This record gives sequence, C-alpha cells and structure tokens, in this order.
Amino acid sequence: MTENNDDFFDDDFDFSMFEDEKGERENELRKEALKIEQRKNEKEKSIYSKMISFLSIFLCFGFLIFLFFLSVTDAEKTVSQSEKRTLASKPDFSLSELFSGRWATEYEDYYSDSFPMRDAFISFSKKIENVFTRFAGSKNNGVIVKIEKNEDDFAGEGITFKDKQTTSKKEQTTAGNITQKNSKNEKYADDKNAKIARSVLIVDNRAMEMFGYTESLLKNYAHMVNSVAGKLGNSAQVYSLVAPTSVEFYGTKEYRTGYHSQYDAINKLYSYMDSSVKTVNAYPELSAHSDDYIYFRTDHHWTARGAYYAYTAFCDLKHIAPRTLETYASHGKIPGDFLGTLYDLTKSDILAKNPDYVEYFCPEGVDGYIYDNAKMENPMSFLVVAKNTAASNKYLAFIAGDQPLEKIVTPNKNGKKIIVLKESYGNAFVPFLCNDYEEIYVVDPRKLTFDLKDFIMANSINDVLLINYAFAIGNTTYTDAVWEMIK
Amino acid sequence: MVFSSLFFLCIFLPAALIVYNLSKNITYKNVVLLLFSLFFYAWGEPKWIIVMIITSLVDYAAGRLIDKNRGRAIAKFYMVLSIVITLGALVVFKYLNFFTHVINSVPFITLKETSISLPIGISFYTFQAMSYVIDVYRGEVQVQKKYYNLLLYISMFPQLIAGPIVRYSTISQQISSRGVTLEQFSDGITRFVSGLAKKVVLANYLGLLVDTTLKSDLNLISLLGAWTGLLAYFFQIYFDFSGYSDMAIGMGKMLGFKFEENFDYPYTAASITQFWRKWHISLGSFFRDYVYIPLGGNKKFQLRNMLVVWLLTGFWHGASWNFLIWGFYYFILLAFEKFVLKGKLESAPSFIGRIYTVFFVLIGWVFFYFDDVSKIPAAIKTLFGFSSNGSFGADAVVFKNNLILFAVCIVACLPVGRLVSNAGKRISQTVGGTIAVNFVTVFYQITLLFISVSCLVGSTYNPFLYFRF
Repeated sequence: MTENNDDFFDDDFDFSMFEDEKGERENELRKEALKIEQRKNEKEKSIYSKMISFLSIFLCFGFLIFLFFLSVTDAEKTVSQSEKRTLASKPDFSLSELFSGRWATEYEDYYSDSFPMRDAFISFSKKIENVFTRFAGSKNNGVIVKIEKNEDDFAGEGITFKDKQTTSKKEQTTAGNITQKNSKNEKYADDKNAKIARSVLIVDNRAMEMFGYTESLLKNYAHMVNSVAGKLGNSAQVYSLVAPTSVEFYGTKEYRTGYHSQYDAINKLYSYMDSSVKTVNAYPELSAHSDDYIYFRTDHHWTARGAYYAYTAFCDLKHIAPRTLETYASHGKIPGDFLGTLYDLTKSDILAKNPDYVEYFCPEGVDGYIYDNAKMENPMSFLVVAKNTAASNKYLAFIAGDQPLEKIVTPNKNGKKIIVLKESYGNAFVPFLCNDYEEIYVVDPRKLTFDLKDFIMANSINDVLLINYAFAIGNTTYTDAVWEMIK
Repeated sequence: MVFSSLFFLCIFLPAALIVYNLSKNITYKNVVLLLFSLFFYAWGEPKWIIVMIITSLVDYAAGRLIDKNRGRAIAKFYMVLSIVITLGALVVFKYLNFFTHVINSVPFITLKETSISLPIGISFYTFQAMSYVIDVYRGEVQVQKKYYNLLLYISMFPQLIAGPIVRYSTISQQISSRGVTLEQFSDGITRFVSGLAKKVVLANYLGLLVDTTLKSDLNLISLLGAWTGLLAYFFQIYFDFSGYSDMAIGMGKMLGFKFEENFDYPYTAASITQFWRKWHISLGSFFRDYVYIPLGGNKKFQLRNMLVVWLLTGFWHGASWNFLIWGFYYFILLAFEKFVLKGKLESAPSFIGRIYTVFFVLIGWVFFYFDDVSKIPAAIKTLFGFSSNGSFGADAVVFKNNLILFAVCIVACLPVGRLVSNAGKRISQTVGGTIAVNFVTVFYQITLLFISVSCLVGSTYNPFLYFRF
C-alpha cells in the first residue's frame, strides 16, 4: 500500500505534465545556479589551497634557509664539552683536496658540527629516540637500552681529541725503540671494545655498560699476561688485577649470568694464567661493599672507594696490612657535580637529575712527574690527586688522567718499586699504592711503548701490576700495545 | 652528496630551487638544473664525473647515429656498441675486482686487483643511459638532439644516486615542457619530508639496532636477538630505500617532473611474485623489458630466462657472492610459485600469502646482509635455534625496548599514507574541508621536517665514548 503511495508522489513525469515549461526553466536555472555555486566553490577552494600551499612552502624553506643564515652568523665553537672532542674545523681549500673529494666530506663534517643550535637539536633528537626505546614496562624493570655508535661511524670521522690537561703531545719519535702514539689509534682501540660493550643499560638512576665474553678473548688476554711473566722471568713479580664493572653488581639478572657474568669471566681468566702470575682477587672485596659508593652511576669507572677495596685485595695477596680509609687526613669531595661518559652517551634525564660526585683520599708527601718518553727526559710535575680540578670530567683528578708515563716518589724509604700497566681504571687505584712503595711507575701502553724488561732492569723495579677492568680483556688494541712492550 | 645531509637540506636544495625558479624559460631551467646536478655529483665524486659525462656522450652519439641510420643494420651495431661501452664502464668500476678475485682462485694465476672506488650512482645512471639508447633503437622514444638535455636526464640530481631508474620515455616530454603549481610543489614537499623522515628517523635508528645485533659477534647473540636484528634490517632496508625514492619523487614534483612510483607497499604483498611487482619497481621493469622479454620471456626457455634475470638482479645489488645467492634464492622462490604453486596462493586466504611472503623476504635479507658469505650459515643456525646461545638472554630487553619502534615501523609499512590522502580528498570537497586538509598538511610537513633535521643533527652527535682519560 505505502509503496504505491510513494510511487505516486515521487513520479516526476506526472509533475512535469502539469508544470510544463515553467518547471523546466526553473530546473535549468537551479542547475545553472548550482554550477555557478560549484565553480565559485572550486575557485574559493583553489584560492585557499594555493594560499596554504604557499604557506607550507614558505614555512619549510623558510625554516631551512633560516638555519642556513644562522649558521653563517653563528660564532664558531671548537670544542664540544658533552662529546669530549674537538669539533671539525673549516677545511683548508686546495685543488688536490677538492679533486680527491676530501674537501667536500670535511666541509660537510664542519657544517654539521657547527650547525646552529646544535645542542638543542641534539637533545630534541634524544627525546625522539627515547620515545622509541622507552617501552612502558613495569617500574622495577625500567631498563633503557641505548645503542652506541659502531666502528664505521668513527672510521669516517678523522677527528682526534687533544687532551688539554697534558703536556703538549708532539708526535715525534724520540729515541730508537720509543714511539709516541697518536690518539687516533686509541679511538679504534675502544671501538673494538664497543663491540663487546654493545649497549648501555639504565636501571633506576644508574647507567652501566653491558658486558660479554668469549673463551677465546679470555685466553688471548691470559696468554698476554703469561707472556709478560715469561719474558720478565725472575727480574720482577707479575700481578694481574682484573676489576669487575658496575653492571655485575647492579645490573638486572640477565646481564649478570651466562656469558655476561664477570664473575665467571674473571675466574676463568685467572685459571688460564700461569702460576708465576699472582692474581689479585678484587671481586669478593668489591662485592662485599656493593652497598657503598664504589662505582659511579653516570660514568663507566669505579670510584676511589671502589679502587680502595681492590687495593685491600692486593695487600692481602702481598701479606701487608692495607692503610685504612679513616687514616687519610686529606679526604673529601671534589667540588661540583660529575656527569660522566655514560651520561654523555645516553643524555638520560634520569642521570642528569642524579649526578655523581667524586670522593678522594689523598696520600701525603708524594711527588709526581709526567714523561712523554721512556728515557724520562723533560719531566712535568703533576698532582697525584687534583683536589680542586676544574675539568668537567672529574675522574681526571686521579693521577692527571691517562698519561704516557708517570713516576710517583713517596716518602717511604723501603726500596720497593712497582710499575703499573693500566688503562683509566688504574687511575683511581694508583694513589693507594703510595702507602707501600717508594717509587711507582705508571704507564699507559697505548700512549707509549718501550721495552718493559729493559725499563725494569734500568730502574730496579720489583713488582709489575697489570690492572684492567673487565672490558679491556677484549680490547685487542690494548693487549696488542702490551705485546709491543715485550717483543 | 646525499639527500639526508644537513648541507644538502639547508644549502644545496634551497639554493637550487631558488635559482631554478628565477625564470620561467625552459632552457634556462634545464641549464640551471643541469649545472646544479653536475655540482651535486662532483661534490662527492669530483674525479668520476668524467665517467658519467663520457658514457652519456657515447649514448647521445649512439642515439643520433641510430636515428640517422634507422632501418639499416648499422643501427643495431651502434646500439650494441654503446651498450658494450656503457656496460663496460659499469663492469670496470663495479665488478672488476670481483672477477679478478674469482680468476685468482684458479691456481697459477694472479691478477692485480685495482684500487678504484665505485663511483656513486653508476649502477643507476648507466642503466638509464642504456634504456635510452635501446628505446631509441626500438623507436619507442624520439631521439634527443641536444646533448645537454640528455645529460640532464642522466645526471638529474633527484634520481642520480639512489634511483628510481627513470626511463627516458617517462620524462622525454617533460624535459621540453613542464610546469608546477603551488599545490604540486606543496605535494612534492609532503612526499619529500615523508621520505626524509623514513630515512633519518626510522632507517638510521634501525641501522644502529642492526649493528648491535647482527653486526656483533654472531657467537654471542641469542635466538631472539638474531630475529630482532633481522626484523630491524627488514625495516631498515625498506625505509632507507623507499625513503630515497620518496625524496626523489618529491623533489621531482617540486621541479615539475613526474617520476614513476618505485615502491608500492611491498611488505603487504601476498606472494613473492607480487612482492617483486611492488619492490624497486623501476629495476624489475628494467630487467623485464630489456633482458627477460628479449630472451624469450614466457614463450621459450622461461626457466632459463628467469634464472638469468634473477642472477643479474642479485648481482646488480653488489659485486659479491652473497648478492648472487640472494638473486638465486628469489629465482627458486619465484619458480616454485610459478610451476608448483600455480596460483594456489591467490586462492588461499590472503593472510597466509602475506605471512609466507614476509617470512621468505626476511630470510632473503640474511643473504643480502652478510656480504661475508662465511657468516651466513652461523646466522641461519642462530635464527633457527641450532646454536648454543640460548633463546632469549639479554636480548629480550633489547627486543622489549624497541617494541614501540617496531610498532611505528609496521604502521609505516602499511598503506596508511594512501588511506589518509584518500580521506583527505573526500573531506576537501567543501571549502572548510579544503582549508582543514591543507592546514593539516602544513603541520605534517613542518613537523616531520623539524624532527628530521633534529635527528640529522643528533646523528652527528658523536660522543667520544671510549676515550679513556
């Protein structure tokens, strides 16, 4: 029924029968009006979309060109504090450089290093990365894995860092077998290290490098230590100290077990060493004091307090009583907050809000000298503990950072002499040795090489300490540098 | 120079576009574009620009000679000669050391390896140059009488270093007449920033993840770690490559050119056959038109023809055994689909085909990634749980921490962009809708551009991590 009704009312044909021409004209007019309306609409749309397109072009290119003009007017920065490197400088133009393509590459490096508002852009990009990496997990397991740069990224860089704290490091060959190494080698050294380190883990407000080992790496390192002992024979006693890092005590379980276990790594490593090598068991001492402030939270090093507990293990082995920390009259904090390497790497807000401080225990009456040659010419004196260091990297307070060769003379007149082969983990450790030795020699094999045995004979040294943190096991450039000294 | 560099973004591109738009005269525009393109190439590759100029000169002359001698046998000779020369340049610069190496494995023969580096973009521009000569010979395009126009086609900076392989037929008309409206220009920006963000936000970040997993010691990574790395690489290579294509197409638009699409959401393909119709389309169609069909196509020796095409496709990606294996792997898969499955996949529910495709493409990238072939067995072993490294280990955290990244990647692989732009078209039927859509577009462009620039600056943040003080 209803359907029929609808049909009747809706039938256009019936209508036009009655309305005739008038309706047709009206229809036409309506269509025309609609068309005009539509055209007007289109026109308006087109005007708006033209205007806004122009706006978009203006904004996008305006932004890029604005950045360009800023970079032209910006004052040049040469050193990046947070990156601990010198920024690329404007390359010198020459035709040969141009044709090799090097000039262009260097110019691009220079351009991006001197980019306007660089720090602001960097911190914004870190925020974006954090969006990707921060999985909304439970609070306890608030772990961020930050991935670091790989070798290739460094390989193309060609920028070296010059440590302004040290004497001018001229790249000269002084005498026969002594060569000074430039810092570029070191760069590659540590990249190899990075492969093992892989990533940084942040738990609560502590950043830690992830550790991993393989049997072959352990054997290589043990072989190196054994060879040092073999080469020296009876001329000196070799000690090996491998320090665990913070992830072993504060990392989540999965980073402390299996091939991540530094406990297993160090014990296995020691078991591969010959009986002529005395191994310093620092692990249990550190483990027993893991509630103390023995590792930095924003830096990959241990604190002086951590190094002290390793020192007590060394004393145990030598059957001497370690000096207690209470007896240090010159003891305190280096002024200012300390944000270390792991902060620089992650730029984590959590770390920034919880900076470290550097505690020191300063030995009395000691004199220190730095040399850039094994003949020990041209000494420069230095402070064994720089209590008021202005360096942003406050770990540099200990024995003036990594120096080619150092000699510390103490008031002890017991004739005992030691040489320490180390990377930076040794820096916080060395000041404690001042209690027991008359002379302490400290060498960073990556920075200076000489014949170890000759040096020991010449200076009538009794003990040799190879001190490293667990990551150095896999650092073939470090171990190669030690090999170089016993060739 | 690469697109994803601050120098390109803030100096080269704005400068090129400003100078380019100073006049409406087409000859002026072509000359400006040519000069900027040559500068673009010479910036990173000052010596080898000569190779590009010579090959294009050879192909220009060949085109003219073929045109003059049309119908005569000598025309074919000119075509073959120009291909030998153009391909010869590619072989010398790209494959010589590979062949030397192979020959040296024969006892008593020692050839010296050359130390020449691969000129950027040579794989792309030689292919473009060859397609021009062949198309002229086939009478499919008009010969280009002006050398600088042909050089412009070959050296045009948007597509010079990473494709797409633009056919001369696509842009032959546009070289002599083209225009841009404001809307087209803005569309070009949208496309460009999308590609830029794919490259610098996603691909670069994924690259770091790949390095920490696949690049690290294979003896150390767990089952989950290996799959995390492979998944990251799966996304990285797509965003990197299609990002470059997006940037090229976008810049083309800004300049008034319309390039063909190069990627069509390949990871949504429901079969390997379909995948290759959606992945690097310009390369696939090049091999189809200039190798597969001339060899006989489907009509005779189809299996042989397929083998040749896929080995060449693999080899084109790099002068190394792993790429040949990768090509062969796809030959097997495609032959399997063609002769064994015979369309059974199409009749099955599409999710089966999609899972199957993603799985085999993932495995394919293993061959693509490890250019040291000796590492492949260990990688496969780890991926299928036959290694002693355990299932999860510490990599569980790596995986968990990157879940958001992976979620973003999955969304970015799906045809979301197309959906959004179709919705935009519907909305913009009213005036208000047009304004809204346009403003959203502006917001999208400037946001992505800002994020991309930040990430680019951020990627130059090279803290000297392991400096031992």
